[in-house]
Amino acid sequence: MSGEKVEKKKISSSLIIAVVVIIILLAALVYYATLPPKVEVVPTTIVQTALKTETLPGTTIVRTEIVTSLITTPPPSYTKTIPSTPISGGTLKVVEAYEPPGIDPATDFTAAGWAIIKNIYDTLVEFDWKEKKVVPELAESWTISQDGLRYTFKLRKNIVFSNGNPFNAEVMAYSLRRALLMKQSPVYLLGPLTPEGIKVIDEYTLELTLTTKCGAFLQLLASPVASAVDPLTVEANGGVIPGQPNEWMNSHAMGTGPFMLKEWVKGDRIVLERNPKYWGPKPYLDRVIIYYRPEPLTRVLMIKGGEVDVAQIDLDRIEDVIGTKGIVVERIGPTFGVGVIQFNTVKYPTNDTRIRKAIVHAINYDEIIRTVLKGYGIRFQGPIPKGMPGYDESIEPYQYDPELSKKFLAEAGYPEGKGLPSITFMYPLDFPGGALIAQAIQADLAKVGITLDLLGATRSTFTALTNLPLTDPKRPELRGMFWTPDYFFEDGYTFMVGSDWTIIRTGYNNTQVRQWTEAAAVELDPTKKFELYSKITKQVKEDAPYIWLVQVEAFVVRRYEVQGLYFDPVLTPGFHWQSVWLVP
Amino acid sequence: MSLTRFLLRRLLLTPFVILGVAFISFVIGRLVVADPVRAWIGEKASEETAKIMIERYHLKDPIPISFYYYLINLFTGDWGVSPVSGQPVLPTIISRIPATIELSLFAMLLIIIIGIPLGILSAVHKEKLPDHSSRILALIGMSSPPFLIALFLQLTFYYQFRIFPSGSRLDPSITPPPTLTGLFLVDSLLVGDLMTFTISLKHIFLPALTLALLNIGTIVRLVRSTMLDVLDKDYIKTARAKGLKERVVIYKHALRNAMIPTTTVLAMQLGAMLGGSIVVETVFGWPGIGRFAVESVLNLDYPSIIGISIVFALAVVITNLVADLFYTFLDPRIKVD
Repeated sequence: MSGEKVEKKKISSSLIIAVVVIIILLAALVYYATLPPKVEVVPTTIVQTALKTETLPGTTIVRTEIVTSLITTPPPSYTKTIPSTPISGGTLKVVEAYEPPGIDPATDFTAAGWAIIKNIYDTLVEFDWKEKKVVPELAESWTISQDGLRYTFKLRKNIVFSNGNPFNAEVMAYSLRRALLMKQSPVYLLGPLTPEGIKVIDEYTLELTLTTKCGAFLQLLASPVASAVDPLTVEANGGVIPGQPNEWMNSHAMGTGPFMLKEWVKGDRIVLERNPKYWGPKPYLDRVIIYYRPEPLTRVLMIKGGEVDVAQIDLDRIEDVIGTKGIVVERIGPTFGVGVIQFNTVKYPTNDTRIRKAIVHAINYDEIIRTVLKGYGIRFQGPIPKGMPGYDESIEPYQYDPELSKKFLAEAGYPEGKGLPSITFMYPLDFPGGALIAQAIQADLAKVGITLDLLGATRSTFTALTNLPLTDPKRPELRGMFWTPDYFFEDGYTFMVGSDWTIIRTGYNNTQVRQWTEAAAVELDPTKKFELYSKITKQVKEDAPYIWLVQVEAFVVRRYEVQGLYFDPVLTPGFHWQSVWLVP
Repeated sequence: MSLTRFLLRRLLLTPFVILGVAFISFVIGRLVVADPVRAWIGEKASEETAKIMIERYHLKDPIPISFYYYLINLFTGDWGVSPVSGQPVLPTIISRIPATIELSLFAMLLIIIIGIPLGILSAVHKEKLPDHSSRILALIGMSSPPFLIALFLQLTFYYQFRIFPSGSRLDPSITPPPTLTGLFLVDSLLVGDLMTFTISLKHIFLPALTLALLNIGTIVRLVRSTMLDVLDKDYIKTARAKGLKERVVIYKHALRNAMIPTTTVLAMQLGAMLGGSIVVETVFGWPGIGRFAVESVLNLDYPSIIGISIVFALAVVITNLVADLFYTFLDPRIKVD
């Protein structure tokens, strides 16, 4: 008996010791792990957010605008001075979230893929996002016929691919025909161009004839799908099979651009190397290594740990990098990416314009931008974003006005929302901050008496429910989307309100809006074009087929040494690495 | 039953297992989203492109007919082409699988060299400090979500202490060793490149340790309980009574018998790890099949998902077969049947 007692006592004491030792060990590890590494913390970036409030003359509407300014100061203890002229050399390391599925210009239709393609391949013309105009690239000049159907390009001479093969009009014609024949996702970006419309006039003259007029054609020709590929390389590796992708071209590359594909370790990284045969200004960097890490925290650790120079950081992780020595959070300003919510205008109750208007006026947009998006966004009047020529500043975006919202509800026969069935809002789960935005909207709508059911959907659910007919009971009344530009032209946005796609996805079919959209797409006179887009904006605001939520602002997280980043919204979060250089 | 007949029977059954797995994943894929075309080509792509895709992947045909098309190709070695990347599925899997095999084998090695001694220690010092410590370690590993352990190790050993790299299989500046087995550790040793070997070892350590910590608990507890069971047996008493050294009793007489159930579990764990360790590969940028699996699922890339499922099933079948064969080595009385 006494022996057993002794045994029991022993067990408990050793158990206690074990638990205590392990807890202490773990606590010590956690403590050390969460300590900032041995660097001095200096605030490098201060984001100032203030509210500017004014009462609009003659109304009771109070307009609140968020005034956000950013001060980027070099860290005081940083002794490095930025030289006035760029310096050549060095390896830039970048971490992004998503790896491109493929890099064939004729096939890939992802931002990640375009960010690689644009650094390896060239197009006839390029779009300068700073000056907002089309500039020459492989073509040194061009003329457009009176009827707007025939484009004649004079090509640059002495351009070779990085393997030494020459570039000429035949090569360009082959490249465009190839994309048209393969008919992969981005082919629609070649607009009204057909293989028959491509004609080689002489070695350095190419003529493209369109089937219909297209105002955006030059901008479209700056798309990766219109890149020049080396015919000899393509023919040696699978050639062109109509309607099918080319396996080899999807994981290899041969272009005339500033960089070459050095290595692609799928699931890990892509390495680009300076193309010594590049015809234009030589890139400063010797090499660019782009790591792909979907885990947001890993990306934070990689830039804070100094392993990479530029990182794609999610908005909800931005506080983790602000204030770290040597890291600059640079605000880029409004991009052409817009957050929108589509109404199902066929199904009850959102088939009633008054219900839709009640909803658009019940949402406190400014508050969502300020809290969820941390000020990284501006109000969006929809469908045309600020910064495009067709944007009409005189048109106000939807105002947050719960009283007006209640009035619309009462007019529709649901005073205080009584008797109104609940409405389902489907949003993509993979969109950072999507759930928070959805909850904010839900709370705002509840204030006027509208019940919103939230449906955060994975990619498969989202696609499956989107495929349902608009009248299906399971089809959500509201569908959230993030719309990004593929090229610089308004019709990429009016597509949301005036195309066949609009009818399939929302049921909204205003013949007048469609006519204006079609007319604007081929209108070459800027004043008339502007008027048409202004009319579309006003009419769509009246019909309310969408909730125009926000036009987002971009920011880049980089190390202080990284200079010369040029922002191209089409490639976000990638960049044109040609202009980038490193302070040694 | 002779060993040859046993092997033959197993191998003949394998195609049916694969067929079953392929059919189930095919049907599930088609039932979840009947028309994934827009997820593949994007909202803005033209109707013509969509039509080509629908035809190519037989999306408008009834499930049995499109499965028939898939099967015919499968048996001719054509596992289809990913509609998202335009890459053929089989070569993609083959290029990715060595990384996963290397990671799984290294993790298995860690599990064996840490887990089994810990289990023995626990059994021999039952209810004492070593036992409690290993129990707590086992519980922590078993009850923590994979991403937590992965991020914790990354935070500690990469970010804080700078001992190990944050990810990848090798530094970008290092040329991978010539492909003999596809496993960098083995290949670099075979060609005598010690530097590449050391760097590979540094890169593989954290992801493998994460995998090991997740699975080690089961092994520790299992070895402990089977050892306790065995140590109570009469033949152990006899061995002790004969005056054999305690070490001989434990390692030669007891452990060998305790290893039989452990081998089964180890084989199951290896099979599961070979199917790809999704979280670990994602956090550490390990270019294996697990990360490919996540990407395929997110993109509704069915040809790739089915291909990965088949590989996963094969991994389980093969590891179990190896485990069954290993029994006969551990205990000659066991006959395969």
